[in-house]
Amino acid sequence: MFIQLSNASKTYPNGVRALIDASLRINKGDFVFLIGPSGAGKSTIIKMLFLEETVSRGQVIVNGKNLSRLSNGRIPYLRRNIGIIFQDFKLLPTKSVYDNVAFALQVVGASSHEIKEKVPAVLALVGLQKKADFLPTQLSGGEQQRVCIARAVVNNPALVLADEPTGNLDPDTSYEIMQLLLDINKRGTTIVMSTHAKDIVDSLQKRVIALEGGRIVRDDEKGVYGYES
Amino acid sequence: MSLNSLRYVLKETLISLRRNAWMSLASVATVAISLVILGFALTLVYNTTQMAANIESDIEISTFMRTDQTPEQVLQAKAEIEKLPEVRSVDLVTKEKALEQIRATLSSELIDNLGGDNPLPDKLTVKASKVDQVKLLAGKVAKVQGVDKVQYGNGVVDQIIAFTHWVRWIGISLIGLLGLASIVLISITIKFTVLARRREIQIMKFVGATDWFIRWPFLMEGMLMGLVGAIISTGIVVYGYTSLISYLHNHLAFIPVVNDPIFVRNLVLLLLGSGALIGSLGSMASLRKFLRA
Repeated sequence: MFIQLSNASKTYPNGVRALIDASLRINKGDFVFLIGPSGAGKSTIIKMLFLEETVSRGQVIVNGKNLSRLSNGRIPYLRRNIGIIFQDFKLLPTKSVYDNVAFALQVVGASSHEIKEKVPAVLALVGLQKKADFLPTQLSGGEQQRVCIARAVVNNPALVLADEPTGNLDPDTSYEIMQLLLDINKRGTTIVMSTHAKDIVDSLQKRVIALEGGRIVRDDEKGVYGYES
Repeated sequence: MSLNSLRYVLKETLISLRRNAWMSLASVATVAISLVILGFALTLVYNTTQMAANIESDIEISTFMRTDQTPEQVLQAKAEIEKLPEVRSVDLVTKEKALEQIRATLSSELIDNLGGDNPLPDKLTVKASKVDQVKLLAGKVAKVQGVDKVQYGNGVVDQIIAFTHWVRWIGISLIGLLGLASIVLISITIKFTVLARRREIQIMKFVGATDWFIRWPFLMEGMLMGLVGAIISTGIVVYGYTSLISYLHNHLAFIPVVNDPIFVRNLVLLLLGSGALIGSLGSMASLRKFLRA
């Protein structure tokens, strides 16, 4: 098993208990939805998985590593094996599509040869090879999200975390983004995605973990959203 | 750091310096000013110390023996003084010799009226090897068996020592204050850069950049500002010092300014080193906080 939370709790410094005694297991290659109302703890789980937040009590294990025991110096190396997709894309507005993706390779010290090889390949994967020289502001929301996905997977990570990746997109575009994520999942990449999108969850029939008030209330293989969203 | 990373870091450093041109300029100027003061203060201290060392050769401790001492006892006292570690040389001026000197310079009539008596004491002229030891040595000499009293320097030594002392302290406090100001200014400049690139830094962290990879461009930026300031100050100090030397040699030759290439070289190295140090301290100060996120 690839990801494991054991009685994981998170209390923020302001006293908010974002996660209470959450336990779950995710296997390599799984596609998992985290669902629930705002503030249920979906984002907290995602953030704990790439150590933007640390667990207050309990254990979080990713890829065999107990994250509470990981030294600060090792965090970057954990993240190199995790691609992160954001609701607001987090692209650099002054860099072109190509440079935004290349950036992820530059900061881990890749050679220019490696960059020239990998960036066009991943841009082709997300269907943006023709817009490599565009700036993010010249792209639609769906295209910007594709750039974000390209940046997330260019290092060929074993795990992709997507925090409401379709939150800012219309339904058609959301569907295209989901197709892309499913393609990436088919290549063996584990995907954990938090979402509010009932239609997507219901149509894809993937594993669904539902959270409410910081607790896991449901964990179904081939689940549905189950709430009125 | 790999060559790829190095290229990235250098590019980012230059972009950032250009973006904050005015702040960078102000930082460079403060570094330059503080280092110019450091340079001149050091030069002044060095020169006064050297000057004091030169004057030292003129400072004698006149040691007068009691008149009841036999020539043997005087020689014994001389040998004893010579054994003191601070002593450079001891010369004996016997009372007979002193009398001859007076006879030569004053009137021989006066001496003849003494009727063969010699009221003068034997005198030992003691020189110290270091100027700041004169006082200590005089104290030791005064305690030697048979010594009546010692005289030296008429306060010149004390004045020189006090002067170098003050130059040193005023210099150190000025340099301290200005150095601190430079560090603060550089850290503010770097903070602007960091804020302007907050987004970039956040993304860098998310895609797995190490803290050092993120730090390097900022550190280089600070160091570069410090170094440029140091180069400017080095130019001013070296040019100012060498022209002062040639002016003094031509017009006021009696002032013994030191023209020592080794001192100048060390000064240049010290200024450049301080510049780089101030720069990196400044950037480290502003980097520590934000990288903890």
